[in-house]
This record gives sequence, structure tokens and C-alpha cells, in this order.
Amino acid sequence: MIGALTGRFRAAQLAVTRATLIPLLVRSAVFVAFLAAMGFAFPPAIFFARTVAALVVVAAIPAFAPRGAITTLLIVGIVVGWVVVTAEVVEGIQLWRLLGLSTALYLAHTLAALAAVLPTDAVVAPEVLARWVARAAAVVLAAAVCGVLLVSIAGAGGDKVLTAAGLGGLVVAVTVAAVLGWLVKRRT
Amino acid sequence: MTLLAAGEADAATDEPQWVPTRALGRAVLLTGLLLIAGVLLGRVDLVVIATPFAIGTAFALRRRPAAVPKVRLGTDDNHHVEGAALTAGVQVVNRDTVGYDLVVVRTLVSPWLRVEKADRPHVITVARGGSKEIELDGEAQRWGRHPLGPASARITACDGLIAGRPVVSGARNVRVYPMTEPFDADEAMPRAAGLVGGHRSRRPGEGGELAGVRIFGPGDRLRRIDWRVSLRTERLHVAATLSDRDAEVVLLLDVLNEAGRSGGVNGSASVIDTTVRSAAAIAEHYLHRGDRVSLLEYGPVARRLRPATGRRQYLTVLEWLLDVKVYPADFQPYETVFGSQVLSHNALVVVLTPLIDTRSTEMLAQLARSGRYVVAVDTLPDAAAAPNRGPWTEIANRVWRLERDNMIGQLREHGVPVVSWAGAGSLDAVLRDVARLASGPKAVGR
Repeated sequence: MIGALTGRFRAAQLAVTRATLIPLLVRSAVFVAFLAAMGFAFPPAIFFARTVAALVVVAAIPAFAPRGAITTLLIVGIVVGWVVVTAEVVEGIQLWRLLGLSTALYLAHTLAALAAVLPTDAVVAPEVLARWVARAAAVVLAAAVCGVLLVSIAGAGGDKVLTAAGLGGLVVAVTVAAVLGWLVKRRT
Repeated sequence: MTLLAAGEADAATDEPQWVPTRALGRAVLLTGLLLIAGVLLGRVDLVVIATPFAIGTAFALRRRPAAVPKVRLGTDDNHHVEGAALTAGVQVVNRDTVGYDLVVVRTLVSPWLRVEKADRPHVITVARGGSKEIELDGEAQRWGRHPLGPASARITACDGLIAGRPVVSGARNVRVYPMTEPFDADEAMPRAAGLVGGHRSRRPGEGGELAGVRIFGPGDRLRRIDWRVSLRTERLHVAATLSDRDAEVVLLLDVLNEAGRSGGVNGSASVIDTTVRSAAAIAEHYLHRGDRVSLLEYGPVARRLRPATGRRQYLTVLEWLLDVKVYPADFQPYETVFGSQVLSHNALVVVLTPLIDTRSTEMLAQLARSGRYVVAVDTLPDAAAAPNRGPWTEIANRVWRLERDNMIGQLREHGVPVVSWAGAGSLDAVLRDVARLASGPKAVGR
């Protein structure tokens, strides 16, 4: 038991001493993205209480273990928190906060995907990170435009339109989920 | 430099199976979950949050990799000598219509090929239909055949949503030849084997070395007539020459024991290091002079290289030396080594031995008793000592050294000169003694 712990400690120590800059930057970015997502999702008061330490620790876990399921769980947790916090003030949601949350969550997701396949001691060509970030930025930009359009359309419609949009949206949601699921299962 | 044109190692031919990563599962789960929740709860904000996941996943999966990537490993074609620069390369070829976002390349490299950052994975991107090469620059630290590779590449495409199974290249050996320390022996060979070669002999004959001028006799060639002396003395005189003779040098490598620590070309030398480097130097010297050189291992395997001369033999010697290894044996391998081998009686036998094993000493004494011209080159490094295991280690080490010196003295009394390897001129003094012994009558115990 003690031997195994010592071995793990030494392995961690070796990993830290051998770590290179770009993998560390990526993992730091994962941590910052999750922290930013929490900042957008939760009320500011939570960051001035004792809970801030817990939030920082939770945000740091995916940075240390990007291959685990914790990234998915944390994104789901933040979204659930967002839903709960904004449950009573759905109409008063600020657009910048919503776009910030969606951007931060997507960046956390894609950077965690990068960190999961990037060894911490790797010699990384700078173009790897640059291209990855550029693609993520393009996706975030396109999503922001779509988000603004969606919010505008939702705000302009009446009750009947909303009901029709809701039914149509359900169909779209199921279709999108099914298509993505089919893409995953499709053999290359 | 074309790294991969020569000595290209074939990549593994197994079809890699592209598999979805956990990130793809997460993206699909979140997209579906958020969209359905957004619609059911009537909250457009959840749809907005799902939008980047849906767009990112759809954008990344618009094209998916299908072809097999190829990984090649190669080195430059130069003949590597200890201390020389070495360039290796790993090439990743993308034959797909999708670019590889991230390729993690790992290469196994022998520690004797000091390649910079070889112990770290290298991460690159490879555009569709293109290739990229990672150069690994290093230095060959020690003679021998050193493994380079295999190299493996783990490829990630589609923004980290699809990953390929590792593709592994073949491995190859890098041949590093021993650095020959400068060696030069001016002394003549003790006894030559034939009437051709580079050594002047005391025997008259056709050669280049002038022995004197004598009166013309039957059988003398006309072109040997010394006209100046003949005119002065009014009798025909010819220039007499000494015959040129070649000799066979047998390099006997004691591979029964290893001692000392090998530190590469710039570090300390072990017994085998000194043995191989000095053998290469001695062989180079005598082959350059036109002698025949053969090599023999004194060990249970008893590898042998037939005697030959010339530059080709020198290259063969270097190649042969790359495979020298220590073979511990529990028995006296004298019969194994010399039982089936015919050792020329006139050959000069240079034994490269650390003299730390009584079997080696007995072998030297037996060779001397059988009338061979034997020279022992002491290959034990000065710094070699037993590991410190207590207060008596130093004393035990000194006693052992005294015993060894005593044994070397006894060998000298038996007519086996022992000399420490010191590069140029190492063998001159002892070769002079051996040549002097060879010129006189000798009783041989049979």
C-alpha cells in the first residue's frame, strides 16, 4: 500500500519535472475555461464566499484528469446550476452571459479533448495548438451568431409560434442527436 | 539529405481502426441532452448552449479519416564512428483526404545514440495528402549495433473526436564502428610466412631493400647488374637485395570477462571497449602494411575471422568487431578455440586480455609453450576496482593487484611480453624483444 503510494508520488513528481510548456498551457486553459463557465453560470456572490475554494478545486479536476468522465459531469453540473439559477428569471437572462457560458463550456470541452491526447512531456509544434485554437474560435464565432439569431427569433414570436417552434425544435433535437449518434457508430 | 531513401523500415501493414474518443461521446451526449431539455423546458438558452457543441461536432465530422497512415524510420547513410554526428528521421505520411490534427510520435532509441529529446514524444500536425518528418539529431557514443526504433504514431483527427490505433514502424540497427586509437609499430615482425609482403627480412631474395653488392653468379638477373661497380672492378657485380615478406597477425580477443564502466567515446573505457578499439587500431596498422590479419575470440563461442589482407579485410574486421560480446563460461575454452582452428605457426599472436582470469593466463602460457610468438596487451582499465563493500575492500583490492602483478611477472619469465595498451607505439618495445627471440634458435615443447 505504502509502496504503491510512494510509486504514484514519484511518478507524479517525474511527470511534473518533465512537463513542457504547451501541454501545461492547455491544461491551464481547461481550468480557466471551467472557472469562467462557473462565473457565467453561477451568481457572483458565490465567488465571494467560502465556496470559492471548492469551485476552484472542482474546476481544476478536469485539468488534471482530462481523459476521465469528470469533464462531462462537470459540464452537465454547470448547465444544471445555470438552469436552477436562472429558473425564475428566464426572461431576464443577459445575452452576453449566455454566450459567455456557451463559449466557455465549448472551449472547456475541446481543450479537454486536446489535453486528453497530449502527453504532458511532449515536444509540441506550436502550429498544433494554433490550429486547434483557430478551429475552436471559428466554431465559437459561428455558434455565437446562431445563438444571437435563436434568441432574436424566440423573443419575436408569440405563444402559438413558440408552441410550433417547440414541436419543431423537438424534432430537430431528436434528429440532430440521432445523426450524431449514427456518425459515431458509422465505421470508417 | 535523403533520410528515408536508404534503409527504410517498413511500416506495420495492419489496418488501423479509427475509433471515436471520449470527447465525441461527450459532444453527442451534451448536444442531445441540451437540445431535448431546451425543447421540453421551453428554454432557448439551453439550445444556445448546445449550439457550439452541435456545430463543432458536425464541422469536425464532415470528413472522417479512412486510409492507413504510414510511419517510416531512417537514418543517414554515413558510416558512423564513435563520436560522429548521427541524423535519424521519423516520417509520418498522411494518405487521407482529412488532415491529422495531432500526431504523437514516440521513438525508442538506444542510450548509446545520444539523440536530443528522443525520450520525449513529439507532437505534429500532418496536412491531408502530405507528410511531415521529425528530425532526431544525435551523436554515436559507443561502438556496436545500436537499435533505433521502432517508432509509433498515435493519430488524432476531427478535432480530437476520432483517434487511430498506434501505427508502428519497423526498427533498425545503427552500426557504429570503433574509433581507432592511433597505433604505429615500427619494429619488424618476428617471423614472416612468405616471400611477398611489406616486411624486410634477413633472407636474400627479390625485394626492395638493398643488402649489398656481390659478384655476378649463375641465375642472377641481368637487370640486377650494378654497372658502375662492374666497370670499376672490371667484373660483373649485382645488387643483392633482401626479400620482402608478409606475416600473419592473429588478434585474440579475450571475451571471458568484462570489467570497468563503459562511458562512451568521451568517458571511461571498459575492458571490451579497450579490446575492440585496440584491435581495430592494430588491424588497421598491419593491414595497411600489407600483412594478413585474422581475429579470434577467446570464449565459449570462439568466433573467428579468416586471415586476409587489404582494405576489404579492414572493413570486414570493423564489421566483425561490432558483434564482440562478453560470453561468461564456466570451463576453460582453450580446446574450443584452438581445437579446430589451425593457427599459423609463424603468426604473431596479439592477445588482448584484461588478465583477471586464470584461464586467460593459462592460455597465454600454453601458447608460449607451443612456440608461438605471443604478445599480451593488458586491457584492464586503471580505474577498474571492486565495488566498495566495507573497510577491507581497499586492502583486498591492493592484494589482488599485487597478485596480478606477480602473475604478469611470471608470464614475462615464460617469454610472454605483457604491455598495457597506450595507443601509438604500444607494442614497439615488446615486438623488438619478440623479434630478437625469434632470430635465435628456440627449443619448443611439444
